[in-house]
Amino acid sequence: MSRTNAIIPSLTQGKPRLAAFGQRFLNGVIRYTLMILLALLLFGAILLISGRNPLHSYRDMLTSTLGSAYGFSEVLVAMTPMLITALAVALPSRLILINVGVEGQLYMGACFATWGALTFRDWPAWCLLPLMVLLGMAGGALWAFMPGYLRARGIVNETITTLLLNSVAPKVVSFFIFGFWHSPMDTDKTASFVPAARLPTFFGTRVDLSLAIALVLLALFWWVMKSTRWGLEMRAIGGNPQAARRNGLPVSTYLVVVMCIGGAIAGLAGMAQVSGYYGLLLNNFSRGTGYMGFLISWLSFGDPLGILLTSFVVAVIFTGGNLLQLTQGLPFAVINILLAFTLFVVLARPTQAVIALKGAYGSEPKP
Amino acid sequence: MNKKLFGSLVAIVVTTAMVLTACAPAATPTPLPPTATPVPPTATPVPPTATPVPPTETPAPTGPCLIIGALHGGPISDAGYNQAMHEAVMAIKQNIPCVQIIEAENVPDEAGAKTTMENMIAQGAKMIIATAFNHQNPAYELSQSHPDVIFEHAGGWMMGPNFANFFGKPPDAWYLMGVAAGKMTQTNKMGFVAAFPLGWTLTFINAFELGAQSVNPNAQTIVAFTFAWGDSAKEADATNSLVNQGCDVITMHVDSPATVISTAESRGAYSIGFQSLAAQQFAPEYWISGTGYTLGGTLTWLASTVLDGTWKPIFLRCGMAEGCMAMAPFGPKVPKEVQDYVTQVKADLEAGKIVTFKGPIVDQEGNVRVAEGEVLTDDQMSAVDWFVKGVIGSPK
Repeated sequence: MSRTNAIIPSLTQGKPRLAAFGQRFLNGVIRYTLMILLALLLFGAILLISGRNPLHSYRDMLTSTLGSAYGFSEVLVAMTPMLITALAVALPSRLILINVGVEGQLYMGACFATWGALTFRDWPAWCLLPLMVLLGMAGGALWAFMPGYLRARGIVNETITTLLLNSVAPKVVSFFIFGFWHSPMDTDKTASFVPAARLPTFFGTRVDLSLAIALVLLALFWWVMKSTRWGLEMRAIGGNPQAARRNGLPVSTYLVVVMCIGGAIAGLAGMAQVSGYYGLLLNNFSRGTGYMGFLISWLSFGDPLGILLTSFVVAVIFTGGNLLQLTQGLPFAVINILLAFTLFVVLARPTQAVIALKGAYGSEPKP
Repeated sequence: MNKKLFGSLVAIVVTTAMVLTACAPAATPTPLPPTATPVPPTATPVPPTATPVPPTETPAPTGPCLIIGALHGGPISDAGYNQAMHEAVMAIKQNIPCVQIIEAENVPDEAGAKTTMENMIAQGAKMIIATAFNHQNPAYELSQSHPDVIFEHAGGWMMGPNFANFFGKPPDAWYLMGVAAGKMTQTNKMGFVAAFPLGWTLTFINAFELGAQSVNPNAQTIVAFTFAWGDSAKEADATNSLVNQGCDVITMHVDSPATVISTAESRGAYSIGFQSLAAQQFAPEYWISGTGYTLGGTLTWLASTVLDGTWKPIFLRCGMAEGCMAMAPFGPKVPKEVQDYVTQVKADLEAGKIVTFKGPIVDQEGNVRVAEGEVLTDDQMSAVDWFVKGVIGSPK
């Protein structure tokens, strides 16, 4: 955030806000496109070495994801949990709280929400779903409260505790699955949820309500950080906690509360996974969604627009990679190489090239 | 800028960790044989395993005569369950050359598998073979929205107009392996590395122990759960601690036998394989025997019925007699008389002279679980939550 935010004021001076936003959006798109092209180029070399036609592979990937309504809907489905989990990292990161624990918070959210879904299965959807949302958020918040409180008291660094709690949460979930929610027919999962406990989906696809929730949360996050007192105070604490404390800001309270809100958002992602995507609670269901959210958030420096773009690209790679296996006969692991290339290139940030390019338009000062 | 540097560092570490873990074979639940209940008892016609279907005469010049999409929950080179299923699918291609196979490995569980199957259908697949237990729900849901595509699932119980299930019959195979183990053990302690305390896994362990007791009343089976279908580190740990406790025969019910069997071999303990006959390669010296799924003939027969339009949803279960499961060759240390005895028991099991779960059977606490004259049904086997007397370990 530091750099992008530093740029915005200089852009907004003397320009209408909308134009500045458009400019920024365009810059972001250009930058990400260049980076992704570089990653595709590197991956293309690997495809060539293994005797596949990179152009055909990329064509398959694109047509299967962006070329059809179904493919596009699947990209959105893959993108949704990344958006929410990235947000769960981005918000605490404004206070320099490094929340590596999204994975664990997501599991706890899923666990609590599942309890609601299995216990109150007779309830109608209009009160069961909100209950599950609340339970999911409570579960995530509870899991984030411990590191947040310990950090606020200055006892343990939250990076360590959140990371360590990640390996505890899936075991708690396993305990419940095998202990209480296990029916003999099902092996490592609970029984399927009743329809009332499933998030509504749109247009016959698997895109569910959680996408809308994610977008609203993202917009809310942007608005809170930009235009509210809370946002200002959080930025102040993030910039210099000592100064903020001396100015009378309740820094400790902020640390705990923001950490809990981050956890609640992660818990919501967990709830959305079990209620929307899976429709049951599966042992070890997450496959690293929380870590992916962490990466996306840091790669985009907690910037809502960056989160949206990065999640989209990662979702396209994930979804499209599936087809490479089917049409090109490539092993499944290959898609991880492309993903890794993309992430490393984005990490390496060819800022010099981009700045030189922008220098031609003379619009952006060097950071 | 320190923060940015730190952020980048953390991101690099996490990326690396993620990529590395992503490269590891995904843990996938092994499909378990199902309960047979809700199925109209179609007299399961045994597929002609030995006779490969004659290749359809004209390899249609327009393209493949049938596109089959096959999806596996784990890596197809695991020398275990997924490899056995992969080889069965490939047998279709060998026997009916005009089919085209689209295969996907490491397919995520449950809802995660839907995309893969949709993509396969978009590629023209008219038959889907889903081999992972946790692909049953998504496959069944898709079978309803794609009535023109035929779905075959391994080891489930659901049935539909275009959705059916096929699998082997492992309990008898486990009884047989128990007989071999009971004959070979010197310490009378046998180790069983299992993934989860699930109904079918407990049934396998019980069958193994009953087989061992039939030849060696003092034989005990010590069970160690790893709580993962594919966690090599835990499997090695469990195997080592079982050997340390005095077990001299090790077997397992996890996805890939590779770790357990090679660890047992390195400790000089006998091993018994399961899932795939390929497990034998990991124990050149201390191998006793093993059983694996050999469903190639069954799948070939199913595909041929799809081709000629006679496919019907059949709840198909077939055992060693029908060629759906096979016993691996004996290892070099197994004496001739043990080999002969086991072979005789195999024949008796196939002829129905020996019934694995025939009463009286008592559990660890001495309660009678199967009364005299009764036999455990498939339904009950899937929901077992007790161990027979002689098994050491908790069935929870």
